[in-house]
Amino acid sequence: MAPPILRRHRGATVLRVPGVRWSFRFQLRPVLVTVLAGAAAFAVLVWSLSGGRPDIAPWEVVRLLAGGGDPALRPVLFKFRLARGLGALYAGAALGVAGVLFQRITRNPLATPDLIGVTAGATAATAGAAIVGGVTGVALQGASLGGGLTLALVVYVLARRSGVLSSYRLVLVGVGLTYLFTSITAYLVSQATLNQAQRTVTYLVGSLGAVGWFEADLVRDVLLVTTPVAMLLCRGLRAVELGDDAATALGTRTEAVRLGVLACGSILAAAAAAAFGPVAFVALLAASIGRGLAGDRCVGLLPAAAVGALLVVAADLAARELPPHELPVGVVTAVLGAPFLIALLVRAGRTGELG
Amino acid sequence: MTDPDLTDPHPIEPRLVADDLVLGYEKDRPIVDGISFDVPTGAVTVLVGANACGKSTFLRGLARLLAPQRGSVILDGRSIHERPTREVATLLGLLPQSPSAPEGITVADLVARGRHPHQRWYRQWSDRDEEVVEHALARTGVAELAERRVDDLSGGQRQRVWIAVALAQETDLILLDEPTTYLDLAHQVEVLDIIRDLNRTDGRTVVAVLHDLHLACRYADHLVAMKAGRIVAQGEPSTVMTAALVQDVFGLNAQIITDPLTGTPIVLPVPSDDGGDGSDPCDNGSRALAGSDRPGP
Repeated sequence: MAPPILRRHRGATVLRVPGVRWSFRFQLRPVLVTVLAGAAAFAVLVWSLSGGRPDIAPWEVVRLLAGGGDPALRPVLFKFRLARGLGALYAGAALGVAGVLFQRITRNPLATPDLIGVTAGATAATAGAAIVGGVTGVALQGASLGGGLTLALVVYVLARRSGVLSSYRLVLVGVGLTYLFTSITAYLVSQATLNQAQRTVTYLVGSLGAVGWFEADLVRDVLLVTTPVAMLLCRGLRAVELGDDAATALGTRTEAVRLGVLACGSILAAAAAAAFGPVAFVALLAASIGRGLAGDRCVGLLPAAAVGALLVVAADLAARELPPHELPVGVVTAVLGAPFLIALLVRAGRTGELG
Repeated sequence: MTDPDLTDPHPIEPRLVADDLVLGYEKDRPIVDGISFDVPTGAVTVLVGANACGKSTFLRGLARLLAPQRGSVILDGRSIHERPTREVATLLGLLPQSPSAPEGITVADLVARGRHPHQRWYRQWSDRDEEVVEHALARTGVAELAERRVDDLSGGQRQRVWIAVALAQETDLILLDEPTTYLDLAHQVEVLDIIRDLNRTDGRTVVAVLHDLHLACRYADHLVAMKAGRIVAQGEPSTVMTAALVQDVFGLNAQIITDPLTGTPIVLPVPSDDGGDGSDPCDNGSRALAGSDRPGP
């Protein structure tokens, strides 16, 4: 069988596998960004895993992860720290992918799942289930996931007009519902007992403190299922980006693609919110930074996933190490994200791209 | 078709046919009101008519972008809506009125997206894909712009790129919805020359909506005049374009003269001393509708 052929065409890279006649056309830059950001995320993860009581040296962490190292340290790493570390990694990746999917399909950099209601739905459902229903454990994650997906569906239905989804309406409806559900959540918390309220509020700001293997595995599994589907949908997404008429003329079922992309994004965002609470702004930051690094020419799911993973792992480390007392990770990402959002708004206001 | 005196210069079996087609965005308010029409195969057909007379809607209907309220569009003997949409996309291409290029995309990447119906996720770039894209870039004169960003191009260049996208789709039938809007005269002619060349050299069937009657008459083999959702006249431009038709379709008092360069008709509006009566026979309340079917950016 002939070996794969790699060559350039008009600024893109073409990979051909002659035997099966498979061929791929892609950009090298996003591949590089994915690898570098992924490597950086892993490095920060190792650093993050090494800190705490007892301190484990970074190289020891790597040895333990590879299956060697001091057996006495294994439980410390594998039972407690790793779940949290990997949870941060998966959550960041999931939010990054979700952010890109939402931004691309709506052609609006602000239309990320945390800004258009998915996350607000998940949090309100969690607060409701915990405070009113007294739900705990796995059922709470289920409620959260259900709440996020339900709100995504409501936003989708309300944003459609005469069978066509308008990105403008999506953002308006999403922002409106986010306010509504944030208020509902605040009301629920105000009605809760002190104990309930404290636990709920910790969740509400996005916390990795209580993350165990269940939460980490949940997000990992959702990522493993949803990301390949999203990557397949990117072909249709590239057509839909040319406008509905052009996409239909090219043989795309535009509404099915849009629904599929929004569903994938919502599932990823809701899963991350169910596991860790609303880790603010990560979807927006990861998708926008990913695009800035990888360039406009690709859809950029994987660069955003890697950047998101790096962001949340680093934010988790900072939340633990920097202040005198441990902060919820959502506070750190919010401190990073809010100025970024403002910068984006100022820039978008100048170029008028939010219309 | 209804007039036996009009001998069809292209006596080939029609491939794309509208059969009693009714299209609209709301019930009981048809924009296209029962059109039956055989698209002449291997010819350049141009649709003209006043604003909001349904010509763009008709074109979108032919391209299966609108589901008929009644009647059907038939492509190669089968209803276009019953055929797999991707299969149709290998036979029939469309350049919409306002396509949108994603921010930052390059010319080559955009034209490559025209190959969509021929590709699969595991077959993204065959030799044929490359050959057709290169040909489309060369044919429309944008090969030297291939690695530039579409955002940075002029209006005329951008329109040629979009024609290249439609060409990359490699279809025998190409529909174009106002391909010359917003272009200056030189670029209008440039675009129309490319379009005519697609027909003359490759034998592709072209249907275009145009606003400029002079250019429509110059480039059309078959001219179709529409009014209030119906076809009122069709045939060779020199037969169709009469003062009576212009009065009927556009409500314009005009004289027709012959283009000394091509022998095709030219419509000269007669100057009005009193400013005219300002009536628009086609504008029976459907302007608001036409506005609402295209949501703002």
